[in-house]
Amino acid sequence: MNMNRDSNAPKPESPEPALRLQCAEIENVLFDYMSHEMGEARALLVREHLRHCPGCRVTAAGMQETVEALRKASREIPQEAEHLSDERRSRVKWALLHPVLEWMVHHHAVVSILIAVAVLLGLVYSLRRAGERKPEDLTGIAITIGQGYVDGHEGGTQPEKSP
Amino acid sequence: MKSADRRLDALERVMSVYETQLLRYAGRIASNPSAAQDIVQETFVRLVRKWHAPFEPGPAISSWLYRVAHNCAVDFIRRESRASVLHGKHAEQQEAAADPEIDRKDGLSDRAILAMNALKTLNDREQQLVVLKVMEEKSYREISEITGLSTGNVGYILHHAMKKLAVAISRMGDEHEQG
Repeated sequence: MNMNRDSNAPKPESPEPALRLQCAEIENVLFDYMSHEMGEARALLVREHLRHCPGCRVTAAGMQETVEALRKASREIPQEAEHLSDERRSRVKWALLHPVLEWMVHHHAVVSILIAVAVLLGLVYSLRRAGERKPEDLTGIAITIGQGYVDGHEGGTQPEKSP
Repeated sequence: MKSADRRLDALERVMSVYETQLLRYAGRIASNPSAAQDIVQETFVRLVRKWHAPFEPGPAISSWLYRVAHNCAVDFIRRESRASVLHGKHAEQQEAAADPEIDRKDGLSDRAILAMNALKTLNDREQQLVVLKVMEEKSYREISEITGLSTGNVGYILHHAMKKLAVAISRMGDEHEQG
Protein backbone atom coordinates (compact mmCIF):
# COMPACT_ATOMS: atom_id res chain seq x y z
CA MET A 1 0.00 0.00 0.00
CA ASN A 2 1.56 3.27 -1.05
CA MET A 3 1.62 5.64 1.88
CA ASN A 4 2.89 8.47 -0.31
CA ARG A 5 0.23 8.23 -2.94
CA ASP A 6 -1.30 11.47 -1.70
CA SER A 7 1.42 13.20 -3.70
CA ASN A 8 -0.04 11.62 -6.85
CA ALA A 9 -3.63 12.29 -5.90
CA PRO A 10 -5.24 15.46 -7.15
CA LYS A 11 -4.59 18.24 -4.68
CA PRO A 12 -7.77 19.81 -3.45
CA GLU A 13 -7.90 23.52 -3.80
CA SER A 14 -10.37 23.99 -1.00
CA PRO A 15 -8.83 24.70 2.41
CA GLU A 16 -11.53 22.63 4.17
CA PRO A 17 -10.19 20.52 7.06
CA ALA A 18 -11.40 17.30 5.43
CA LEU A 19 -9.09 17.83 2.54
CA ARG A 20 -6.12 18.66 4.71
CA LEU A 21 -6.17 15.14 6.14
CA GLN A 22 -3.27 13.09 4.91
CA CYS A 23 -3.79 9.73 3.25
CA ALA A 24 -1.84 7.96 6.01
CA GLU A 25 -4.29 9.32 8.58
CA ILE A 26 -7.22 8.22 6.46
CA GLU A 27 -5.77 4.78 6.02
CA ASN A 28 -5.48 4.40 9.81
CA VAL A 29 -9.18 5.01 10.30
CA LEU A 30 -10.52 3.53 7.08
CA PHE A 31 -11.69 0.27 8.63
CA ASP A 32 -13.39 2.17 11.49
CA TYR A 33 -15.14 4.31 8.87
CA MET A 34 -16.24 1.32 6.80
CA SER A 35 -17.47 -0.49 9.91
CA HIS A 36 -19.54 2.54 10.96
CA GLU A 37 -17.51 2.76 14.16
CA MET A 38 -16.77 6.44 13.81
CA GLY A 39 -18.53 9.57 15.01
CA GLU A 40 -20.52 11.45 12.38
CA ALA A 41 -18.18 14.47 12.36
CA ARG A 42 -15.05 12.39 11.67
CA ALA A 43 -16.93 10.17 9.22
CA LEU A 44 -17.79 13.31 7.26
CA LEU A 45 -14.08 14.26 7.08
CA VAL A 46 -13.17 10.79 5.80
CA ARG A 47 -16.01 10.84 3.27
CA GLU A 48 -14.87 14.20 1.96
CA HIS A 49 -11.29 12.99 1.68
CA LEU A 50 -12.36 9.85 -0.18
CA ARG A 51 -14.38 11.94 -2.59
CA HIS A 52 -11.25 13.81 -3.63
CA CYS A 53 -8.56 11.12 -3.31
CA PRO A 54 -8.57 8.30 -5.89
CA GLY A 55 -5.69 6.52 -4.11
CA CYS A 56 -7.62 6.20 -0.86
CA ARG A 57 -10.70 5.12 -2.79
CA VAL A 58 -8.64 2.23 -4.23
CA THR A 59 -7.45 1.30 -0.71
CA ALA A 60 -11.03 1.42 0.56
CA ALA A 61 -12.24 -0.73 -2.34
CA GLY A 62 -9.51 -3.30 -1.62
CA MET A 63 -10.48 -3.43 2.04
CA GLN A 64 -14.13 -3.82 1.11
CA GLU A 65 -13.20 -6.69 -1.21
CA THR A 66 -11.32 -8.43 1.61
CA VAL A 67 -14.30 -8.06 3.93
CA GLU A 68 -16.67 -9.36 1.25
CA ALA A 69 -14.39 -12.33 0.51
CA LEU A 70 -14.32 -13.29 4.20
CA ARG A 71 -18.11 -12.96 4.49
CA LYS A 72 -18.53 -15.01 1.33
CA ALA A 73 -16.22 -17.71 2.69
CA SER A 74 -18.10 -17.66 5.96
CA ARG A 75 -21.38 -18.25 4.12
CA GLU A 76 -19.96 -20.84 1.74
CA ILE A 77 -18.14 -23.05 4.23
CA PRO A 78 -20.76 -25.41 5.61
CA GLN A 79 -21.14 -25.57 9.37
CA GLU A 80 -20.39 -29.02 10.79
CA ALA A 81 -23.25 -29.00 13.28
CA GLU A 82 -26.00 -26.48 13.92
CA HIS A 83 -27.16 -28.01 17.19
CA LEU A 84 -25.66 -29.45 20.32
CA SER A 85 -25.71 -33.24 20.38
CA ASP A 86 -28.46 -34.83 22.50
CA GLU A 87 -25.90 -36.09 24.98
CA ARG A 88 -24.45 -32.62 25.55
CA ARG A 89 -27.90 -31.06 25.73
CA SER A 90 -28.85 -33.60 28.42
CA ARG A 91 -25.67 -32.74 30.34
CA VAL A 92 -26.67 -29.06 30.40
CA LYS A 93 -30.20 -29.90 31.61
CA TRP A 94 -28.78 -32.23 34.25
CA ALA A 95 -26.68 -29.34 35.57
CA LEU A 96 -29.85 -27.28 35.93
CA LEU A 97 -31.93 -30.02 37.58
CA HIS A 98 -29.23 -31.24 40.00
CA PRO A 99 -27.44 -28.13 41.26
CA VAL A 100 -25.89 -29.86 44.31
CA LEU A 101 -24.49 -32.75 42.27
CA GLU A 102 -23.37 -30.30 39.62
CA TRP A 103 -21.56 -28.28 42.30
CA MET A 104 -19.86 -31.47 43.47
CA VAL A 105 -18.84 -32.42 39.93
CA HIS A 106 -17.54 -28.91 39.28
CA HIS A 107 -15.63 -28.81 42.57
CA HIS A 108 -14.59 -32.45 42.45
CA ALA A 109 -11.10 -31.69 43.74
CA VAL A 110 -12.44 -29.93 46.84
CA VAL A 111 -15.06 -32.65 47.35
CA SER A 112 -12.40 -35.39 47.06
CA ILE A 113 -10.18 -33.65 49.62
CA LEU A 114 -13.12 -33.17 52.01
CA ILE A 115 -14.09 -36.84 51.70
CA ALA A 116 -10.49 -37.95 52.27
CA VAL A 117 -10.20 -35.72 55.35
CA ALA A 118 -13.53 -37.03 56.70
CA VAL A 119 -12.46 -40.65 56.20
CA LEU A 120 -9.12 -39.97 57.92
CA LEU A 121 -10.80 -38.23 60.85
CA GLY A 122 -13.27 -41.12 61.18
CA LEU A 123 -10.43 -43.62 61.15
CA VAL A 124 -8.44 -41.74 63.79
CA TYR A 125 -11.54 -41.38 65.98
CA SER A 126 -12.35 -45.11 65.71
CA LEU A 127 -8.80 -46.11 66.57
CA ARG A 128 -8.74 -43.82 69.59
CA ARG A 129 -12.08 -45.17 70.76
CA ALA A 130 -10.82 -48.71 70.34
CA GLY A 131 -7.63 -47.88 72.27
CA GLU A 132 -9.59 -46.38 75.14
CA ARG A 133 -12.05 -49.30 75.35
CA LYS A 134 -9.48 -52.16 75.45
CA PRO A 135 -8.48 -52.14 79.20
CA GLU A 136 -12.12 -51.74 80.31
CA ASP A 137 -13.17 -54.77 78.35
CA LEU A 138 -10.55 -56.91 80.11
CA THR A 139 -11.46 -55.96 83.68
CA GLY A 140 -14.01 -58.13 85.46
CA ILE A 141 -13.47 -61.18 83.36
CA ALA A 142 -12.87 -64.15 85.67
CA ILE A 143 -10.26 -66.51 84.40
CA THR A 144 -10.09 -69.86 86.09
CA ILE A 145 -7.36 -72.18 85.07
CA GLY A 146 -7.45 -75.82 86.06
CA GLN A 147 -9.86 -75.34 88.97
CA GLY A 148 -11.17 -78.75 90.25
CA TYR A 149 -8.78 -80.75 88.22
CA VAL A 150 -5.79 -80.82 90.56
CA ASP A 151 -5.95 -83.18 93.59
CA GLY A 152 -4.63 -82.04 96.96
CA HIS A 153 -4.93 -78.30 96.17
CA GLU A 154 -6.99 -76.13 98.41
CA GLY A 155 -10.56 -75.78 97.23
CA GLY A 156 -10.01 -78.38 94.56
CA THR A 157 -12.67 -80.94 93.97
CA GLN A 158 -12.45 -84.08 91.99
CA PRO A 159 -14.95 -84.30 89.19
CA GLU A 160 -17.55 -86.99 89.71
CA LYS A 161 -17.05 -90.01 87.68
CA SER A 162 -19.89 -90.90 85.57
CA PRO A 163 -21.43 -94.27 86.32
CA MET B 1 -45.83 -25.49 36.39
CA LYS B 2 -43.06 -25.95 38.91
CA SER B 3 -40.21 -23.46 39.21
CA ALA B 4 -37.63 -26.00 37.99
CA ASP B 5 -39.77 -26.78 34.93
CA ARG B 6 -40.15 -23.08 34.12
CA ARG B 7 -36.37 -22.58 34.43
CA LEU B 8 -35.77 -25.62 32.23
CA ASP B 9 -38.13 -24.24 29.56
CA ALA B 10 -36.38 -20.88 29.69
CA LEU B 11 -32.99 -22.57 29.35
CA GLU B 12 -34.24 -24.56 26.35
CA ARG B 13 -35.35 -21.29 24.73
CA VAL B 14 -31.98 -19.65 25.31
CA MET B 15 -30.15 -22.71 23.98
CA SER B 16 -32.26 -22.87 20.85
CA VAL B 17 -31.62 -19.16 20.15
CA TYR B 18 -27.85 -19.18 20.71
CA GLU B 19 -26.53 -22.71 20.14
CA THR B 20 -26.12 -22.41 16.35
CA GLN B 21 -24.30 -19.08 16.43
CA LEU B 22 -22.10 -20.16 19.35
CA LEU B 23 -21.23 -23.44 17.61
CA ARG B 24 -20.35 -21.50 14.47
CA TYR B 25 -18.21 -19.01 16.40
CA ALA B 26 -16.45 -21.68 18.49
CA GLY B 27 -15.87 -23.79 15.37
CA ARG B 28 -14.27 -20.86 13.58
CA ILE B 29 -12.06 -19.91 16.50
CA ALA B 30 -11.03 -23.44 17.48
CA SER B 31 -11.06 -24.88 13.92
CA ASN B 32 -12.40 -28.10 15.39
CA PRO B 33 -16.10 -29.12 15.29
CA SER B 34 -15.82 -31.58 18.16
CA ALA B 35 -14.12 -28.97 20.32
CA ALA B 36 -16.88 -26.53 19.35
CA GLN B 37 -19.46 -28.91 20.85
CA ASP B 38 -17.39 -29.15 24.06
CA ILE B 39 -17.00 -25.39 24.22
CA VAL B 40 -20.70 -24.67 23.74
CA GLN B 41 -21.73 -27.35 26.25
CA GLU B 42 -19.35 -25.83 28.82
CA THR B 43 -20.70 -22.36 28.01
CA PHE B 44 -24.29 -23.40 28.76
CA VAL B 45 -23.27 -25.34 31.90
CA ARG B 46 -21.54 -22.18 33.17
CA LEU B 47 -24.67 -20.23 32.32
CA VAL B 48 -26.66 -22.61 34.55
CA ARG B 49 -24.08 -22.28 37.34
CA LYS B 50 -23.50 -18.56 37.29
CA TRP B 51 -26.42 -16.75 35.67
CA HIS B 52 -28.71 -15.77 38.50
CA ALA B 53 -31.12 -13.59 36.52
CA PRO B 54 -33.96 -15.24 34.55
CA PHE B 55 -32.90 -16.94 31.31
CA GLU B 56 -34.14 -14.41 28.75
CA PRO B 57 -32.67 -14.11 25.24
CA GLY B 58 -31.29 -10.57 24.84
CA PRO B 59 -28.13 -8.49 24.45
CA ALA B 60 -26.93 -9.06 28.03
CA ILE B 61 -27.08 -12.84 27.90
CA SER B 62 -25.77 -12.85 24.32
CA SER B 63 -22.64 -10.89 25.27
CA TRP B 64 -22.17 -13.07 28.34
CA LEU B 65 -22.45 -16.30 26.31
CA TYR B 66 -20.06 -15.07 23.63
CA ARG B 67 -17.56 -13.98 26.29
CA VAL B 68 -17.64 -17.39 28.01
CA ALA B 69 -17.48 -19.27 24.68
CA HIS B 70 -14.58 -17.04 23.64
CA ASN B 71 -12.67 -17.76 26.87
CA CYS B 72 -13.32 -21.51 26.59
CA ALA B 73 -12.13 -21.44 22.97
CA VAL B 74 -8.99 -19.50 23.89
CA ASP B 75 -8.27 -22.04 26.67
CA PHE B 76 -8.76 -24.85 24.14
CA ILE B 77 -6.37 -23.22 21.65
CA ARG B 78 -3.72 -22.77 24.37
CA ARG B 79 -4.05 -26.40 25.47
CA GLU B 80 -3.85 -27.60 21.88
CA SER B 81 -0.90 -25.37 21.18
CA ARG B 82 0.97 -26.69 24.23
CA ALA B 83 0.14 -30.27 23.28
CA SER B 84 1.26 -29.69 19.68
CA VAL B 85 4.55 -28.19 20.81
CA LEU B 86 5.07 -31.11 23.17
CA HIS B 87 4.45 -33.56 20.37
CA GLY B 88 6.54 -31.61 17.89
CA LYS B 89 3.62 -31.14 15.51
CA HIS B 90 3.30 -27.38 15.70
CA ALA B 91 5.46 -26.50 12.70
CA GLU B 92 3.82 -29.23 10.65
CA GLN B 93 0.31 -27.94 11.44
CA GLN B 94 1.22 -24.34 10.70
CA GLU B 95 2.65 -25.38 7.36
CA ALA B 96 -0.54 -27.29 6.57
CA ALA B 97 -2.69 -24.32 7.60
CA ALA B 98 -0.82 -22.00 5.26
CA ASP B 99 -1.24 -24.33 2.29
CA PRO B 100 -3.92 -22.83 -0.02
CA GLU B 101 -4.86 -26.25 -1.38
CA ILE B 102 -5.54 -27.83 1.97
CA ASP B 103 -8.96 -26.33 2.49
CA ARG B 104 -10.21 -26.54 -1.06
CA LYS B 105 -13.79 -27.72 -0.89
CA ASP B 106 -16.33 -28.16 -3.64
CA GLY B 107 -18.35 -25.05 -4.30
CA LEU B 108 -15.95 -22.63 -2.63
CA SER B 109 -14.83 -19.76 -4.83
CA ASP B 110 -11.10 -19.07 -5.23
CA ARG B 111 -11.50 -15.68 -3.61
CA ALA B 112 -13.15 -17.25 -0.55
CA ILE B 113 -10.42 -19.89 -0.24
CA LEU B 114 -7.76 -17.20 -0.50
CA ALA B 115 -9.50 -15.15 2.18
CA MET B 116 -9.79 -18.08 4.59
CA ASN B 117 -6.16 -19.10 4.07
CA ALA B 118 -5.04 -15.51 4.48
CA LEU B 119 -7.01 -15.40 7.73
CA LYS B 120 -4.96 -18.32 9.03
CA THR B 121 -1.75 -16.34 8.57
CA LEU B 122 -2.87 -13.90 11.28
CA ASN B 123 -2.10 -14.54 14.93
CA ASP B 124 -4.80 -16.00 17.20
CA ARG B 125 -5.98 -12.68 18.62
CA GLU B 126 -6.20 -11.02 15.20
CA GLN B 127 -8.12 -14.01 13.82
CA GLN B 128 -10.57 -13.88 16.73
CA LEU B 129 -11.21 -10.18 16.24
CA VAL B 130 -11.66 -10.51 12.47
CA VAL B 131 -14.10 -13.39 12.97
CA LEU B 132 -16.06 -11.38 15.53
CA LYS B 133 -16.13 -8.21 13.43
CA VAL B 134 -16.44 -9.45 9.86
CA MET B 135 -18.22 -12.81 10.21
CA GLU B 136 -20.21 -12.38 13.41
CA GLU B 137 -20.78 -8.69 12.62
CA LYS B 138 -20.26 -7.54 16.20
CA SER B 139 -19.65 -3.88 17.04
CA TYR B 140 -16.38 -2.72 18.62
CA ARG B 141 -18.22 -2.32 21.94
CA GLU B 142 -19.53 -5.91 21.80
CA ILE B 143 -16.09 -7.22 20.82
CA SER B 144 -14.61 -5.28 23.70
CA GLU B 145 -17.10 -6.91 26.10
CA ILE B 146 -16.40 -10.37 24.70
CA THR B 147 -12.61 -10.19 24.62
CA GLY B 148 -11.93 -7.82 27.50
CA LEU B 149 -9.92 -5.49 25.24
CA SER B 150 -10.61 -1.75 25.11
CA THR B 151 -12.57 -0.52 22.09
CA GLY B 152 -9.54 1.53 21.00
CA ASN B 153 -7.37 -1.55 21.13
CA VAL B 154 -9.98 -3.55 19.17
CA GLY B 155 -9.93 -0.91 16.40
CA TYR B 156 -6.13 -0.81 16.37
CA ILE B 157 -5.72 -4.60 16.14
CA LEU B 158 -8.43 -4.87 13.47
CA HIS B 159 -6.86 -2.11 11.39
CA HIS B 160 -3.51 -3.93 11.33
CA ALA B 161 -5.18 -7.32 10.81
CA MET B 162 -7.04 -6.02 7.75
CA LYS B 163 -3.83 -4.60 6.31
CA LYS B 164 -2.07 -7.93 6.83
CA LEU B 165 -5.03 -9.75 5.26
CA ALA B 166 -4.97 -7.56 2.16
CA VAL B 167 -1.24 -8.22 1.73
CA ALA B 168 -1.63 -11.97 2.33
CA ILE B 169 -4.55 -12.25 -0.12
CA SER B 170 -2.60 -10.34 -2.74
CA ARG B 171 0.51 -12.52 -2.24
CA MET B 172 -1.48 -15.77 -2.30
CA GLY B 173 -3.40 -14.59 -5.35
CA ASP B 174 -0.13 -13.95 -7.20
CA GLU B 175 1.24 -17.36 -6.16
CA HIS B 176 -2.00 -19.01 -7.26
CA GLU B 177 -1.83 -17.37 -10.70
CA GLN B 178 1.82 -18.29 -11.14
CA GLY B 179 1.33 -21.85 -9.88
